[in-house]
Amino acid sequence: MDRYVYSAGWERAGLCGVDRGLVMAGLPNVRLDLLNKPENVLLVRETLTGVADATGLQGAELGDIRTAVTEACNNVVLHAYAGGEGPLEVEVVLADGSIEVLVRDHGVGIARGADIDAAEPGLGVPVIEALSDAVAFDELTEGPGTAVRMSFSAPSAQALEPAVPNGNGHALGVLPDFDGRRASGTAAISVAPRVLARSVIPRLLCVLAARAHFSTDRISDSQLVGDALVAHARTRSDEDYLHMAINVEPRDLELRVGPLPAGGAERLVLDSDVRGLGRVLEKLADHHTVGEGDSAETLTLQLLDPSRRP
Amino acid sequence: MTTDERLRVDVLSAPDRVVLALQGELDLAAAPQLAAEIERAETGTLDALVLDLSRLEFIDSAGLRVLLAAHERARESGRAFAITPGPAQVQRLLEIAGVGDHLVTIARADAGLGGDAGERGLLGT
Repeated sequence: MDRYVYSAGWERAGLCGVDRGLVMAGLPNVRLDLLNKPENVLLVRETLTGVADATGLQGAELGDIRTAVTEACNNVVLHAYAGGEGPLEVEVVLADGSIEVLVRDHGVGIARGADIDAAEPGLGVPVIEALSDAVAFDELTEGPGTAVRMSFSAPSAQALEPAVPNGNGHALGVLPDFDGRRASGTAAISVAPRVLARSVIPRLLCVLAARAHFSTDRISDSQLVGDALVAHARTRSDEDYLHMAINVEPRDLELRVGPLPAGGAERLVLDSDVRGLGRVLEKLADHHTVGEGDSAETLTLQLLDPSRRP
Repeated sequence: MTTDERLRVDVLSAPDRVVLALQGELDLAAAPQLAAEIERAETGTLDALVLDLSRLEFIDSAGLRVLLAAHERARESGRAFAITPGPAQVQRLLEIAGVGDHLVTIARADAGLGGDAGERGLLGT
């Protein structure tokens, strides 16, 4: 087990030892909540490609980050839950000249999970180590699970600060969900600032619409809906995160955006008016519903592709 | 030919070889698809199997395992096995995994299996 529990690079950077509390360089720009299914690792890679589009990250740097993060996610898919299902959480922090990615599970994690393969050591950990500038494998303190924290030098990337009023990142705890119905296709994402959301959200919706077996036209519609949500969703106070949960069923894509301020859901639909097209969200979504909670609203959009019905 | 969300495998049969041309992303989710295609090719009369990686956009260690397993089975049964070079990310993973020297690389899928394979010969030994 010791073989797999180590912190390479962080010690040199003075980030290891005293603080094992998984403190990243700043608030995450992106947080993804997924199930540990093999096909969901693609969503993580697409997110990283969106990050590169927004930050000017170069091809070779992006290639290394995508490879290393894929291996960390693969470990969660294969080992964290002993063949069963469980959460796969990914956070991306864009710092000055570097990108940090955290991959977290709430199972046995890479530390003990990797022992399952002791007879046939995996390539994943050596690949992560070779491609990242620093990596730490930490067992979670608040319960079972492991976090793999990777740092990548990225001189060509620009830092993007998420705007959060009191800087405590509390908003990340208010992810919309599907009332406990975390079906196999469900993903949840929080992303800030908007310039980043603009390149990440439509890209993710494109992949998920393809997974829902949408036609090419309907995949384009899903991207347009993503563009409209990123452009017009006004979240509470000055907080800049866009929170979205996505549920995928065959020929059925359900998006839930929130928390939005009172009246924010209907205003989002009205604001999506594009000259010549009308209200994009009303036109392209088959249904939209407003969910009202104690202090916040959610907007749920359902996109179907009846042309592809069997 | 089979298609998947992100990996496309085109099967091309020539008199002296079967070429599997890979396009897209060969990851943990797509690895079983390629393994099945290779297995199908191996059940026929097969002198040589070539995996054309020139249009493969991404590979992870799960994909690499499929390549190495095919290489190993070819070695055991005396068949030839070769790959063509892939884009930068693919070559980078082959390099850091230390398998670049293991696998025979030919310049193109239709290149000579003997001459272009270099001094090591097609089985890479």
